[in-house]
Amino acid sequence: MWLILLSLVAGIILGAANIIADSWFKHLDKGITITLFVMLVALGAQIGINAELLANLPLLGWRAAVIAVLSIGGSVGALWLVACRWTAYAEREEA
Amino acid sequence: MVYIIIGTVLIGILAGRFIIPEFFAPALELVVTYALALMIFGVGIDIGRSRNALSSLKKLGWRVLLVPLAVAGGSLIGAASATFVLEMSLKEVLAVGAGLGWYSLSGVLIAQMYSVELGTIAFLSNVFRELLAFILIPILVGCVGKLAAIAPGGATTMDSTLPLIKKVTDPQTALIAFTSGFVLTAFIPFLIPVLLAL
Repeated sequence: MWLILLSLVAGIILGAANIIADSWFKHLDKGITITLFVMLVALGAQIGINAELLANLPLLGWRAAVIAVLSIGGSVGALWLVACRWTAYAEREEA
Repeated sequence: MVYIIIGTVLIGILAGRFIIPEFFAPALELVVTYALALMIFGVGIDIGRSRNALSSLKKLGWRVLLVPLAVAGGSLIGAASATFVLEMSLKEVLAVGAGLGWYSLSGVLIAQMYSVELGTIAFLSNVFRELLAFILIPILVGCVGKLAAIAPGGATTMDSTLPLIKKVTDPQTALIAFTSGFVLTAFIPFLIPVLLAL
């Protein structure tokens, strides 16, 4: 948690300080994408390496999947409503 | 992009199942932690140099808090509706839904406070939520909108799904996503025990 926060704050300070040459930002985007895939492979491996988790998947997976899908559906619906109100408010302010 | 992400995770699962020895698990955790830190550092640099996004966020003010509120409230309403489909009590489905994608904390916390079975369901459900978020975020940007695309990630929008959100939306939405994820991450350790005490 703290490592993540420190990394973000350090990155923001470095970015805001404007000391990195523009040519480096192309490499930065590529670097972020590569790191994302390294993390996804490691995340998958963490699931695959856990024999107990894999054995329990059919037993408890159905319940877990139903709750995950309904939670996502509820949150997308609620945030969509907020986004609609937000847009309407912004349009009223502009008018 | 979606297929590449699914393929990448599947390769990881197969590698974990057939190639990587079990004693390698702590090393994998380290890889994830440091890869995450490196990625977040890169995302931070991008946010830091985007002065327009920072000034826009200042203009948004308190309204930005409506985002985590809607994500948490919507997730709990959605999870509560699972009682009509599953043979589980309201407080059980709410506690699982309150993980908001933070599978490591919610699984352990619920296993310790309630039961190992519910802890396992919470772990799996929030793993699914994070994996589904990686698939749904790029799709939702086109179908529903940039802001609504933040929702599936829940608390993970401050770390693991943030680079993807940044990639498929814009720096301002990425900043809102980080703020939402941060608020939710701070909220979850309080929310789960309260729901389990109902």
